[in-house]
Formats: sequence, C-alpha cells, structure tokens
Amino acid sequence: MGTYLGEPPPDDVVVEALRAGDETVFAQLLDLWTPGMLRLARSYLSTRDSAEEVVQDTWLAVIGNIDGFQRRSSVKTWVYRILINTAKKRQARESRTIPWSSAFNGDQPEGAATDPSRFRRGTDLRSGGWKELPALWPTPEGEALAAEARDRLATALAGLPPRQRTVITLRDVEGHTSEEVCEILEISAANQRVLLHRARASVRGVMEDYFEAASRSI
Amino acid sequence: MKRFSCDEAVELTTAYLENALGPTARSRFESHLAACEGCERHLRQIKTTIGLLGGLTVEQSGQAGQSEQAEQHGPLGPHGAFPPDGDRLPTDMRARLLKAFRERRTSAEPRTPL
Ligand SMILES: [Zn+2]
Repeated sequence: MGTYLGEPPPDDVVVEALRAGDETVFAQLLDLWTPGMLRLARSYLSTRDSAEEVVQDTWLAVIGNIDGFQRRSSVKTWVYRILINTAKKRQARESRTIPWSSAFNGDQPEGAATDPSRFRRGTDLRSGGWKELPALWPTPEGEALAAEARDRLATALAGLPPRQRTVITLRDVEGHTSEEVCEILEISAANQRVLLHRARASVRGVMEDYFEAASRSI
Repeated sequence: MKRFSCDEAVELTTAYLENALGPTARSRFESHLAACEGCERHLRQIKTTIGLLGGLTVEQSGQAGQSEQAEQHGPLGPHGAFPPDGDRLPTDMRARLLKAFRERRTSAEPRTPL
C-alpha cells in the first residue's frame, strides 16, 4: 500500500537501474505491473495459487535475465512475453485446464460477433438494418452505478473464451497497443483484431442487458 | 458505390477503431454512421465499453491505496472477479522477490567486466 507510484521511468532508465540493482525501481515495477500480470495469468490458469506462482516465476526470470535483455521490445512487452510463456508451460502441466492451442479453436466461432437476430432479414433495402435501435445508455455518473457496472464488466470478462479474454484484458484493461499484444501473444494483427472484436461485442452485449434491466427497474 | 448495411457495419467497428480499414471502406463506414442512428449508438457504446474496461485498473489502483477499505472486504472483495486484494502478491512472496533481486546484485558483483 502506498506503493502505486504512477508511471515507471522510461525504459532506458529502467534497464540501467535494474542492472545496477536499484531496488526502488524494481519494487515500483513489481507493484505497478503485478496486478495486470495476475489478471492475465488467471486467464490461463484455474487457481489463484498457480497464477501467483507464474507471476513469481516471471519476476525471477526477469531478475535473472535483465543483463541479457536485448531492447528489441519495450521492457513491459518483454516481461509480459515471459509471463505468457511461463503461464503456457504451467497450463500444459495442469491437466484439468484446456491447452491454449485447442482452446483457440473454440475461441473463434464463425459468423458475426453481434447477434444476427438484431437485424432485419429479407431482400428489400432495409435488409441488414437494425430491427430495433440499441437503447441509449445512461451516462454513468453515480458511484453506485459505477460500482455495479464494474461488477458486471468483471463478470462479462470472466465469461469470455480464454484467448478473447486475454486480448481484451491486454488491450482495453491494461492499455497495451495492438502491436504489443501481437508481439506478446505471437499472433497476427488480423487475428488480434478478430479476437478483440468478438470480445468487445460480447462485453457490450452484457452491458446492454445490464443497462436495459437497470432502466426498467427505475 | 454500395452502402454498408447495419449488420455489416457493426462487424467493422473494431477494424475502424484500429485504423485497419482501407480508405474506401473507411469512408463508406463513416458515411453509414453519419446517416444511421443505430450504428452511431452502437459505436458510441463500444467506446463506452472500452472506457469502462480501462477504468477497471484505475479504480483498483485507487482502492489499493485505501488500504483499510480494501482489507475489510477480505480475499474476495466486493467486486467478484477483480477484488482489490486479488491484484497483489502475498506479502511473503513479494518480500522473497525483493530479496532475490538484492541477491542477484551481490552475486553479480564479482563478475564485473574488466
Ligand atoms: Zn446502421
């Protein structure tokens, strides 16, 4: 607590500081990045304990390999790649979880990301148009709404297929760029976009249901 | 020039936001949105969703600062999947990592290059 000290210094400074053994900088990165790393590890592993160990092993690998870091990517991308690789290995060892590669197939169903029944079918000009416009959402103002909406968001994320959850968490929760996510997960830009699109469409759908139910209850 | 229908337009939302549409598709998408309230709302809601998702970490960091509150909620916290306590390593694990970092420094010192 009191350890969330905002943005880390620029990469060059970070690398030099870590190599020189600057514990303050290490502790800052540890506290700043661990929450996101834990969330990501949880999308690969079923238990909190496993996720914590994966994050721990990642930091140990960072400590052991910082001298060999090549600066071909940002430090954060490098750390996240170690995390993903560590998580994948761990996942393969834990038999009850689905391997990443086979989870991938079920992750990308064919067809539209937005429910096709929302649109008109037919041969006239209105075909493909909204049957009913999406209802307007309230502007989230009150604290109560914010807390509830957050709750719903977290549930929506948890319900996503693993790869979609990983991509949307990295992009929209953690704020990585699409280039970084492609690099971290070793996927193509098109693949990243498809996963992100499906994930966003699902989460928007959950929030739509939530706001609709909320407006009916007023 | 062929118009996008709404069901086609919504599937291009992410590509549009990622700047991945070619110039023609982009301008068709934009002219559809200018004329279609449903798709305009849809895009705005996708943006709101992204904003809400981005708020998850910001609010959590804020909460982590309010240690008393965070601690009161216990290990599961009030927010289910993203509890305030759920985003930190156990204290002893954090301490072990800091120790490992210190020891790396000591063990590295004798190998200072010439
Ligand atoms: Zn439309």
